[in-house]
Amino acid sequence: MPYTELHARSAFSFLAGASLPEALAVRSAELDCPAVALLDRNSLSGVARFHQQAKKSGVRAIIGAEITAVEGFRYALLAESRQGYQNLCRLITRIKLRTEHGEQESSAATEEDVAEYAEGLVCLTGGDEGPLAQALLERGDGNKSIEKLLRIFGARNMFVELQRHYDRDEEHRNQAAIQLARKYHLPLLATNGVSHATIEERELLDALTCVGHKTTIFDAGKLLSKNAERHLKTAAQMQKLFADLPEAIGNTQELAVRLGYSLSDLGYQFPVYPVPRGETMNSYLRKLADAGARKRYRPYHDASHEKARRQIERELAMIEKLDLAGYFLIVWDIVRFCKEQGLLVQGRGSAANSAVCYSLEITAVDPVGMDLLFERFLSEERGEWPDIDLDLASGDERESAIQYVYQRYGKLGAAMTANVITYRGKSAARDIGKVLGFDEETLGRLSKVVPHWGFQDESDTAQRQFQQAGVDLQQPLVKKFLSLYEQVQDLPRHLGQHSGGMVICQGQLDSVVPLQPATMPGRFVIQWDKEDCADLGIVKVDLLGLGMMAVMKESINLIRDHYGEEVDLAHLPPDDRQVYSALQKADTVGMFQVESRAQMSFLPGMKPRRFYDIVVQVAIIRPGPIVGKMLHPYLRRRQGLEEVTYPHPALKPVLERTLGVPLFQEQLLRMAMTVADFTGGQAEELRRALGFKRSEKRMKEVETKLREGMSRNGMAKDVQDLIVRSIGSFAAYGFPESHAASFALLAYASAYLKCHYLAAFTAAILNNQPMGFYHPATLVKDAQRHGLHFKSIDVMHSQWACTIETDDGRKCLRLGFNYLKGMRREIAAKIVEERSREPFTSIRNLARRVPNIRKEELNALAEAGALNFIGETQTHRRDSLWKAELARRPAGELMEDIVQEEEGSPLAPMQPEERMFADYESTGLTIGMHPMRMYRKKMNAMGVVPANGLAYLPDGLLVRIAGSVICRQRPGTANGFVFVSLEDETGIANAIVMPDLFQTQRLTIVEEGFLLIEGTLQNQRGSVSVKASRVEGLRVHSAVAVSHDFH
Amino acid sequence: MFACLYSPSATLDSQASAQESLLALASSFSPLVENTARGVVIFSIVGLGKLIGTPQEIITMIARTGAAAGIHGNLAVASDPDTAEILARHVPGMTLVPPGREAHSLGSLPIFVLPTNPEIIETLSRWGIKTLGEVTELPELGFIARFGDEGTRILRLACGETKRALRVMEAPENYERFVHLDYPQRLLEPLLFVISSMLTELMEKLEHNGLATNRVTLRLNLDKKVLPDHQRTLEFPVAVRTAGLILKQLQFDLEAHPPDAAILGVGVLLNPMEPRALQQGLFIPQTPQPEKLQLTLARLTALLGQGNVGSPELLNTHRRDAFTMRAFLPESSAFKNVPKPSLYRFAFRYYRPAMTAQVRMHQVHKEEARLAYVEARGYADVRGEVLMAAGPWRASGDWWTDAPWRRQEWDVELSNGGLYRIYTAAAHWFVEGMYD
Repeated sequence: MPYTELHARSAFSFLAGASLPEALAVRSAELDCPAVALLDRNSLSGVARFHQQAKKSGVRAIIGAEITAVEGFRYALLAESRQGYQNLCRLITRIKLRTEHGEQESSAATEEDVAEYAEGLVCLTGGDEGPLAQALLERGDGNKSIEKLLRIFGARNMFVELQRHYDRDEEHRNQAAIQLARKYHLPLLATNGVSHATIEERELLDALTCVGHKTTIFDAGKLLSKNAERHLKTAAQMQKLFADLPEAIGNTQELAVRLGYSLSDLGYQFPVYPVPRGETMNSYLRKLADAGARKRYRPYHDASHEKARRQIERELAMIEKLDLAGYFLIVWDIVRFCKEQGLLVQGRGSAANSAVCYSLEITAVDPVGMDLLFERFLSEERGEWPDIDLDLASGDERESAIQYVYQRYGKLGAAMTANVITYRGKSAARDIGKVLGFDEETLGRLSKVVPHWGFQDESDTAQRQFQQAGVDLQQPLVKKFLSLYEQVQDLPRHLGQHSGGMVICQGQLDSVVPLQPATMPGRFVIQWDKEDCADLGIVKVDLLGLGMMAVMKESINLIRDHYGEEVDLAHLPPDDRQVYSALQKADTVGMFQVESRAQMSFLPGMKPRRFYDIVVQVAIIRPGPIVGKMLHPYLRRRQGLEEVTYPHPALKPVLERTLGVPLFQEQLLRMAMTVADFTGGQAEELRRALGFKRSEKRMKEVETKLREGMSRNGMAKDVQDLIVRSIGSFAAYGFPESHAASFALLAYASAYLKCHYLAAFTAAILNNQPMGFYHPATLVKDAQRHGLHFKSIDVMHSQWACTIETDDGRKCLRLGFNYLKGMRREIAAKIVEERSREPFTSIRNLARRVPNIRKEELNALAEAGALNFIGETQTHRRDSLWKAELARRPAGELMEDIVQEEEGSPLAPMQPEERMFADYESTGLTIGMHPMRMYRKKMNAMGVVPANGLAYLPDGLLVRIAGSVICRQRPGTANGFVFVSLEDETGIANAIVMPDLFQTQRLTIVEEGFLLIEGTLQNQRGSVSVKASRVEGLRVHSAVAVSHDFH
Repeated sequence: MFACLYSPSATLDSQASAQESLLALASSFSPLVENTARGVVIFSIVGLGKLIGTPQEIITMIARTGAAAGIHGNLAVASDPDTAEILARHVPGMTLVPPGREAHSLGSLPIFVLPTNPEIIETLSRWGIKTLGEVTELPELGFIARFGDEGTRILRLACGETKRALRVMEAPENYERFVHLDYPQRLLEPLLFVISSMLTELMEKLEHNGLATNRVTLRLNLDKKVLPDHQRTLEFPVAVRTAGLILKQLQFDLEAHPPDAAILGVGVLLNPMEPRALQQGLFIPQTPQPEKLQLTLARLTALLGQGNVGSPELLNTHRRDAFTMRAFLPESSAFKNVPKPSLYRFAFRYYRPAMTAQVRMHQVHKEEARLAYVEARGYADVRGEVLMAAGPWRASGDWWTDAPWRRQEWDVELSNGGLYRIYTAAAHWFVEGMYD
């Protein structure tokens, strides 16, 4: 007799289940279960992936949930129909929206809630947490409980659930339940109340129970499971357990057949876009695209735009055929709103392959001019919604766009996608360590050594790392720790909110997926993440905040206010000499996407001369090209050191612009279309098959198809092998050309702003931290080297943000209060307000007029020199500190006169070195001299070469460099090599540390703020670095540590 | 003049004896000794001039005596005790400050040596003030205006002018007595007579000081040299002050644990503590007097053995019959972790320890065997054919330890008419008890 498990919990019950939904589906298939039901606690967040995996494994996924009642028990509910599913979604939404942030503990349904949404749901009386068990335990009588459930669900939709975990109490309850079932003529149903897929996961379940109850394994006592029986069992095992009640097993099959609802029948509808009278969505989109194209391609009917016209027509036909006009109109509508509000917006990703998107001003890259491939964006075969991501300035602007979507589609018509926060190294180590009762010191040590590096070599196992941290792996508890630590990886911990993904629905989104409150009041987040949405065909629009967009917006405003010029990012001079000169010299600190150490080391060799070079530059420093070993062939070909060749002459038009080296996903698609006559859709299918989530079977299928096509075109076996290898090697990581082009536009614009409006660009980037690759201290030093004059924070002049001032016709940057550590924004605002009414006459006067200022804030202002210019005479920082100490202290009547009489201070002014340290202490940066300048004499004596001197020394020379560490990197693609950037007063020097040296000098390299590195100079074709052979720390000052690590 | 002894090793918590050595050294030179802090002792050396000589000679003598006693540390002598302390803590070796030169001798020390709150040190550091000398140069009124009373104290400290009086310590009371007997004593009664007089004296002393005791240690020096002292310690949950009660308990204890040889000497040590203050309420139910209760418990312990008297407390675990014995206290909530009433209402009689059993199985078919016969002998005679069996009931736990446990149990009705619980663990069968 077959058996179907109709009550299983996954890890998406958050700390009440120990297996991923996928694992439950896979295990069910292994046990030959025809179907399995997932009932997570107040949650449907695991059902999408459960549904997908079940489909793959050939198991039917039945959807349900456990709903916590206000009385404390849990209803076990199963969706019989779409209405049932929708009711379940609404019920969960109802109870979640009553909580502050969707917390599990406070989510609970009343009897009325459940009754309201009972239609289409089947109720089981539950296991030891069910209503019947609670009634039997508390009152010894289950009659009332059964009668209540009957009132809500009716006899047809109610089953008396029996679980047998070899527990005496449970069996006693079962006997009572059987009697009640007989009395009320209700069917019995056997389940195993599954909490983990396999028997071994019981230990993890116990550990998660401890996490949930904030206790240790030693104190958890009876909170832990009694035995390890709550795993998925075979039909035979269950039959044996219920040998006396065969109908309980038989009913599982009967009910499983009844529960025919599947997530494939989600009932999701994308909203219909309201169009003017007489228009359809298709006709309206056509009209808008036509009007836009006429602006983009001028003159539109010129022969040169024939290709664009044809492309737009082809795209519109495809959009109409796939019935996607509404989607394009909705995205267009968001973009239109942004433009009307003056918000910077730019589409990224594969949408930039579309001429319609370009015409609708959703994207800024001309796909026709750049010969981009539309099929990467949209194809008939794919059967998915296209993906359009919009970049907005992070902060308020992005917020306005999000608000607009909410306003337009209603409170329950739009929501943010979830972000499933999973257990990773550090969180796993901490939680498991706590469960096993490790003390704070051990926990700190463990979480410190857990890998947070990009790279992990094979020997870099958790065991080895913990061993290095001094953990005795032979201790039984440590062994358990390691085992649980590894098991818990990737299990969900809680649901977060995705930064920008929004889903929109025609009508009520809460009938498609449960909603819960987001962090921001009035916002909702759905229980699925973006992959779940994509898998289930829910349209998502990503409204992403991009720091650089905010920088550009602020730069444009500053330029308008202080330079009197209007900058239009869409019409920047295309071949600006200064921009390309800076790029060629790798003088790119602060520039979007081209500022990283790796980008900088590649730029002098690449020597970008035109826009397409920036597109390549943006795309090539990526894991794909690096892992696929395409970086160096491309560079050598570009430098003329290697001949440009093609796997086959037919591929020349496809690969010509990247010198025969495939770099972009679009090229992969085109290659397949060229050599094997694939359609665009088939080619996209190929890309996906070879992509991240590879399936051996699917890969084999597409490879066979590819080879068949190539054979038809008469290609020899060796050429086929070469092409298959070539496609296979980068399909997983290749970057879309359209995306690179969109980013290249921003890279160019940021470079243009930096080169021509340094003060505005620097102020904007300093005001939008944290962002980019470098610490503000490095950005300041770089701007100073480019001639920008900085002014310190001053209570008489500074605003909250950094601003521009003009001194003798020269633009200077005034640091804002936002750089003063510990300064509150409202206090800064009060200072500015009071100052504008009447200048401050003394520190005491300031303290009196800004009464809420704290002593620490006043001291920080004094230490940063921001109080030096109060009153008629300029004072020094120590003067200010002396006075500030008194200003916030009530002197009392006796001392008042003495205090008032004081003018100067008995303290000596700070020395330059002291001023520098005070700068770092109070603002995290200095606009004075670089710390290394003070040590230059000593450095010279030690034979240390300044950063700007390295380029003039010959390759292979043994050199010493020294400076503050501004960046440490250990990229996943660099086989354990570590890249360290040192800054001195002359610039930045880069060093490469070999893995073996890193292992021996790990602490020095990771902990020290200043380093002295000795090694061999590598000075080749403008790319300068030092291959380290010795590393030692330089004792400078702990305050001066500004490194951005491990990007 | 004051001398300050500072021994870094005595600052460690574990080095209580090092502190005692410091105090002993100080006391050997002066009756006015201040036990300033762990590792620091200040004492007056006024008057030592006539006995020893010049201040230099005095300091040398102290240092030499200290070295002979194995004390390693610093020594400073100044006319101000705080100055002496700062110098002893932060200047290695011996320092002698002539009167009037305190500020000068402190001047070069860094500001962090000042015993004040870290915020003030931070402020001074921000001001660029590095030494105590620089602190003294700051305008007094301005300094006090900024730091108030603490400012005054800091200035005095930096100038070496606090001139405070020592907090002279009193000799600690000793609640230990030891008597050497004239001849080896073998009988308990004469021994108790000796102990009784010692206890009475000590109790009077305790009472005089308003104290009681919660621990009595009896040390018996035995006639056989090879044997160590016979030592017994009695703990009382509430502090007591009645010699008779203690004597009675000692009697029970000695009867239960007699020494192995005749006794040459008797020592009694009491642990002093605040007596219990208890106000009787009109409506508070009567409980036995603590002293009487102690006596009863001592009698029971003597009868049943250590660890078998007290309040049982169930352990919070799925493991069957896991409990621990806590000291019996009427006012404490001894009934912790009592499980919720079970659904089944049978009373169960435990066999402690469980009886090893022989169990015979009946093979129903290839994959299924049933319990057929159970036999166990011990304090109950359990044997019979299995008429009915319910189970198995499985439980396991402590998987994180070296000794995880796992067991399966059955409820069986035997042909002898009894209903028993049997279980198997570690490949053995046991009868755990019987349902009443």
